[in-house]
Amino acid sequence: MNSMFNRVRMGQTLDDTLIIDSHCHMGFYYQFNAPNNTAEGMLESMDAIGINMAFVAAHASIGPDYIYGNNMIIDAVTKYPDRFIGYITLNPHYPKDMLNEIERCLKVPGMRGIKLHPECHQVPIDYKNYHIAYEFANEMRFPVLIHTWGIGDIRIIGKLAEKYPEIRFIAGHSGGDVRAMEETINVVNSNVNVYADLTVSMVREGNVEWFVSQVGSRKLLYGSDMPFFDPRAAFGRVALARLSDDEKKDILGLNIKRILENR
Amino acid sequence: MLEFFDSSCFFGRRSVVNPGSYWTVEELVENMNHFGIKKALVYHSIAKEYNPCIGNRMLMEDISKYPCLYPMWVVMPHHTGEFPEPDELLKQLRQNNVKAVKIFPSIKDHFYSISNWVCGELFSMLEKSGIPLFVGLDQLTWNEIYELCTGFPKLNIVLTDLNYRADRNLYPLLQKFDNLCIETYGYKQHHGIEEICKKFGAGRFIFGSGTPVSSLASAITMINFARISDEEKRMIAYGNLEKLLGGVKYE
Repeated sequence: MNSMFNRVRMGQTLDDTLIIDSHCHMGFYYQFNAPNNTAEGMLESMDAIGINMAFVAAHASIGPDYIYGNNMIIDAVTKYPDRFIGYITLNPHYPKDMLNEIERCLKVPGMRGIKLHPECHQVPIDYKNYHIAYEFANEMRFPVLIHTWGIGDIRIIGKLAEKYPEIRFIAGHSGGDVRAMEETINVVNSNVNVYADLTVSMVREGNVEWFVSQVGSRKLLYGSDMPFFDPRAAFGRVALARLSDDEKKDILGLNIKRILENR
Repeated sequence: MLEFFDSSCFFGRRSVVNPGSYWTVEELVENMNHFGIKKALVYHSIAKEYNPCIGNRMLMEDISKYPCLYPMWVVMPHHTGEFPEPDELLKQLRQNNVKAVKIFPSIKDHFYSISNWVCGELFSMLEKSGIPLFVGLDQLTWNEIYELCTGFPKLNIVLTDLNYRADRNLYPLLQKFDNLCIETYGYKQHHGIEEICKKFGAGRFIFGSGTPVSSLASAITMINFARISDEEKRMIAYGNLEKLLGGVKYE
């Protein structure tokens, strides 16, 4: 069989490889045009490159209205249970409703993780109200995807990982800038329950290979931010990376599958 | 397999080299071979980060043994004597078979205005000669791009280093100005390539990767897996740039 590199370079979809996009959104974004941002529009993008499933949090809920956004995700995972997995997104400015919202969303089987966006909600990652969510996730062994940007965010993830050892922390964007990525490598290597997600707008040359050389392939997750971006750019830098096919398969889908299976 | 002509590559030592990246011309050519990139327009990072004349000279020396590499000079206005006047520049471009130029006018780079009183003579020469001007969205404001397109309606302008937040300003520009094309690598908009092809035609895209800073693999995959026709993919990946450079007449 042809290598993954050859097949992707030829423009062939990888229909025999599990691909789960671990960091997606859904819906409009107020700052720019995001065409075809519905579940159906995203499915078109997923089918074009062979993404089996997408782990999604609504743009609306990382912004102003977590209930409107979570409902959008509930609709998507209910309508397309084989294609979408949902993050429950929480807003720390509504602390009294946080547990209610988690319980409400958990009635839907496809809601399997928590998403926090401290930058949009303008609080630190270890903000006092977030601990309601962390305590819940620790008890349930839930994955928590947190938007991170900068060394400071990553260092906090390291501390939280020690305090909440049952949470699978996913450092969204791996800290974003390169110096923060270096710190991400330290934190991922020091904590079994911290993963780095490769979602980032600036798809740097050689970045995926560098990450694998520093942490191995089992702690890295493919994510695209779709429909913030098209998923092709993030997919291409993994699928065409100078790595073995087994390493690529870990990143593209097997690692997030293992997290969801609590392994 | 889709063939690519990359309009956006450079090499040479630079101030910042991210881990995993590279900087030599040998590594650039090896990377192109690995991914099956047939040809590339390249500039030298010294021309951006130190001095255009010196960098352009280093470029010509370093690419001389690589027929797959085509020179893109970094240019700037001449008034201080740091750079040749437009007539002299045109001679040098012709002598060296340079068919594309790039500018870095922003405050963080070469720091000059692109208004007529500074760049008018340079842009007029490029317009008459059919030499395309590559300039990044990180270098100009949207209003400056508008003024550039308005002031030089026959100048072929390739807007590079786009981002996913561009559409609300980009669409009206593409609608108004036929002389404006966009380079692909930064344009990661969801369904963005498909939408631009539908609304303005595949002829408005020029393939560029941004390597060695940005991922060549990502740039290729954006086109390889686009939901557009094979003919549109060929135009974007190769044909549009070939056609653009074919229009250079050095007059």
